[in-house]
Amino acid sequence: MLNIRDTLFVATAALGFSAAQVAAQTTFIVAVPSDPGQFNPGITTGAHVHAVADSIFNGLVGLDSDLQPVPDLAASWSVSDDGLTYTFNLNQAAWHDGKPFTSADVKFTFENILFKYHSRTKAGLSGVVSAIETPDDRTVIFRLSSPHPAFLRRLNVTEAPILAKHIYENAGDPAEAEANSTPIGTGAYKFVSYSPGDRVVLEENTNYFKGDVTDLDRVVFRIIKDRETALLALQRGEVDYLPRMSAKDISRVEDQSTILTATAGPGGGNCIMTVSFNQDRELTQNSAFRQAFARAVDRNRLNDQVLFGRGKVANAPFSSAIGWAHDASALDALSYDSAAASAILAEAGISDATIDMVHFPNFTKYAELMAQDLAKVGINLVSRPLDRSAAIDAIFKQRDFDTNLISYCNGVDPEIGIKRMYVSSNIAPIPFSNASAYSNDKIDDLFAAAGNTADEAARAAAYGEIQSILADELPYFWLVETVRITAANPNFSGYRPWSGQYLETVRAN
Amino acid sequence: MLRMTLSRTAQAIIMVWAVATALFFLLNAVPGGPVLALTGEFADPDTVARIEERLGLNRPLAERYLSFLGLLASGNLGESYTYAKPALAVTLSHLPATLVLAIPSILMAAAIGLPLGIRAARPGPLSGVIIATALVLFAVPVFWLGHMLRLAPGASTVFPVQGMTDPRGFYQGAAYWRDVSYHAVLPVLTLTMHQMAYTILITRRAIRAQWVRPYVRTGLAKGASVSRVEWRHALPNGAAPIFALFGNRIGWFLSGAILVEVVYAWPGLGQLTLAAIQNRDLPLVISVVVVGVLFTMLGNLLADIAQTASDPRLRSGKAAS
Amino acid sequence: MRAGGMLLLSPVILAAIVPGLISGFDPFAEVAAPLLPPTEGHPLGTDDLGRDLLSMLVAGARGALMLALIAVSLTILIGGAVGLLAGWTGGYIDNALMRFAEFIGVLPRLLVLLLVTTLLGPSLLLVATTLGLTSWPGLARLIRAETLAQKHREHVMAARALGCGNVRIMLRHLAPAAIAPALAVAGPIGASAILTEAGLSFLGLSDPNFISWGDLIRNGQSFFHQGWWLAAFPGLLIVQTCVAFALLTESTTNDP
Repeated sequence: MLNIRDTLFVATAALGFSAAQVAAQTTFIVAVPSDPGQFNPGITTGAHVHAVADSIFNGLVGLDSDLQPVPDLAASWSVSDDGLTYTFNLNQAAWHDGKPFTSADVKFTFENILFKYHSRTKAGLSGVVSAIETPDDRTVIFRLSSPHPAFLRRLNVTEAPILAKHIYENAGDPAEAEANSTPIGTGAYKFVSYSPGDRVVLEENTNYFKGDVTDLDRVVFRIIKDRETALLALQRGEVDYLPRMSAKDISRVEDQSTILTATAGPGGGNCIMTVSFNQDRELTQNSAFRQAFARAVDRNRLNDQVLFGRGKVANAPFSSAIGWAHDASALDALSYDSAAASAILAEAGISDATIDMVHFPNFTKYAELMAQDLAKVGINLVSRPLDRSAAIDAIFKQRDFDTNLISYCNGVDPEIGIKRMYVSSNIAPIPFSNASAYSNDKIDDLFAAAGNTADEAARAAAYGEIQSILADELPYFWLVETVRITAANPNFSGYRPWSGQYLETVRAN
Repeated sequence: MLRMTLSRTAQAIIMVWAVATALFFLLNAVPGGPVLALTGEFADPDTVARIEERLGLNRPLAERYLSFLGLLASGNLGESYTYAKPALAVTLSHLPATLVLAIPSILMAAAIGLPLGIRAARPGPLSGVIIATALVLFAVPVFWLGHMLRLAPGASTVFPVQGMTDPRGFYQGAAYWRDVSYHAVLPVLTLTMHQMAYTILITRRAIRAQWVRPYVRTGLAKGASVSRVEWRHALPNGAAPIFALFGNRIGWFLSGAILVEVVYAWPGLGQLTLAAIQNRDLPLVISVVVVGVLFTMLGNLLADIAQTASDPRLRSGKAAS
Repeated sequence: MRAGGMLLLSPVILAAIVPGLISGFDPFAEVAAPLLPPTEGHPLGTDDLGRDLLSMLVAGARGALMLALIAVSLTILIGGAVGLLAGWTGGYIDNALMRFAEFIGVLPRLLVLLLVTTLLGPSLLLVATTLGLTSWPGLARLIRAETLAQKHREHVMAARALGCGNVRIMLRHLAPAAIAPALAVAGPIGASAILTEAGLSFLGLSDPNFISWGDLIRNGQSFFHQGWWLAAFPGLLIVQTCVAFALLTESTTNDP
């Protein structure tokens, strides 16, 4: 394969250009699909910002490939027996502008930024953390009002990036701060420049508190919207890292790239493609109809033809990546069976049903396949692709849909990404909340109980019960668990594709 | 002349007002506000309300329209939601990249398309070949043409498949422009072929319309060569639709080149527009469209001027408008 | 040239009117293994969901022609009405109509379409209507000029002297003169409607409840390395149809 320098040389020679200057430094190029706009990861959960900004910042803890907490800004921590007090000992880190990082930064970030502006952390933690204390510069104590078993897992750079107090303290509204376009972090890479719509350039932080962990001198994020273009660029060596690609294209790049798979990544993880049934519409309210829908859809085919076998048919409402809470046999009774589906519909007296399905345009293939399967049992599925903003408006605000298709990311704990879909308090015009408007007191109670104890066995039991009720009532139908497939330059290793800091420890081979 | 300048300016102002107003109400009437793009998922009503307040989206529409008009009058189109910078400045900063594609494509299309179009107005097999080629190029979707071009055997190994500069290069000065032109080869070629097809077809039609005029026959009878008649007589007389085409296409290049910009991940106005629409970045959408409209009007104006300057009747001042 | 245009267009028209004649499969259904190369039974192969490509192309013909027909009819209707009215009445009405035409004419059409389809959801009918509503100013100008030229001809003056009403004069005496320019723009507008829709499809904004050739190209491009036929055949069909439209126009304007 020709790499970019060879090609450049050939081309410059061919066009009579003077010899191209070959950068002595290692510049690593990541293709990202959309423009970040700004670089404050504390005020948004948007993947377009986190895909870039997470490399500039750190969380208190990181997550390893099994999504277990590991040190990041916090060197170590201890938890009180009642699960209500977390004490973190901080690393001796410095901000990119040279100022020291202290416990005051942590307290400021949580209280003034994350609990106000980071919608996921605000929803999940602001009611749980009752006080943040800073006995000295190197120690932070979080006091919780009730045990929160997912606490440590919510402190990584994607969920809770730590920002500099001295930058944001007097900057006014953090959403409009100047500093959002010239970020100062503690991370492995420092911000250099940003050309909107084109690229973001970062350089290695030679003063990183973890030492010299990377061989990359510069990281350039190139904004490439078209997937085919990004793939060609990777094949041509114009790009080193493609964070998301379709499984069908693996064969095109596998002999020249390292293929990495992960179920998580910046912006969320452990996602299940999920159909929501609108509980306010006559047909989708009918549980026989939902049963028939579930039996009529061949989910193996979805996995084979949309995910090219790289995903996994969902066998429970909870992601299999959260192993301890996952009930692997929850959906056994809902195997694919067109004849059974037809029988259910006949018995319920439903014939020639027409329903719509709202979804993002990139999920059209799922809708097309389901429409094929449903047509066999006499259900006419009308696909309604709407762009992101319009779909969210139609689903959560106007509630104008029979069914919809959403990639619900379960996160690393049921408290983070699962509970929101089922509890009745979350029936609100909030993006990615309880889309079906499913309401069941028993479910509400079980989630409350599971979220209030640190005892994993007790939690698992509650979650098991929840899953069997859900499988029975089918307010949603869980199709396939998706994976992120990443292609990376094989001359390096140490990629961490499950994390927001995916380039923190990249080494040349 | 002064009168014409004034009336053109007044016309431009009214046009900008009309376009901006239409867009303002269209964008505010449709579902899906900008808030989501700014917060990501889980945005609770509090967060949404705070952002709406910050962006002024919670005020009555009429009041917002008035303050929008105030901004417009001062030549300001508001602040982009995504970039937190003046929308017009963001738009103009993307303009050079688009011009790097548009100007060479228009010039090359004219340089190749005009002679071919004139030649194709003569009868004969060569004309058939030219017309057939132009028709096919006209009928190929431009994004498909762009994609196929970079998959073509020679192109795919020599020229970059995306981007405007090499991110590993960090070039300055002349080296920078060499790098840009090297990256521009394939997208410019795509746009040139597309624009050339239009040029050939329109030119041919314009020249043929002149062929049947008596003065052409007179010229030939006086012994003028065919090509002299074509270039000295038929072309200036039939130039109106050709100038109109080019005038019109200036606006197209600023917005219609979106597809080619997406194929080549070219950081120009087209990509900016797409992102602005998807993010519901209202000020930025309005700003991009207003700039597009102004360029279209400028293009039309240039076409008028060029036509006046080249048309022998208009030049001598004898013709009635 | 007209014959050539008809020759190229006739299979498309045939497919739109009697799809079953050419291909017998349900274009939305899985009828064979996915990504079959062109074979017997599936002369153009199958796509990634096991649908018969020929049947999909045939089904797409109806959408494409409908799109072109709506866009062209609206253009001729609005452009004709505005042109006739402006040319015949003159004065303030003429001025206002022409300013309005100018306003519509400078709107960047692809941007308007992008806005409308992103904001309101992709729909073939919406695209066709928007194209029709934005494509007429050029024609209106042509017809206005034609009307101005006809206005003082004898037959119009005579009709006026005989006391014919405005509407009658416009329809009976002026409209026929507008037919030539209207036919001249029909081809390019029909072709550009199909090409524009293809462009929107490339950006992921096609109506999934219709089969669009442009969307088939987009999908096919992403499967180019698994099945070249998926992008090649719909691409060729678009070229064929648009060339046909252009040829029909060339013939009506130029060949004496």
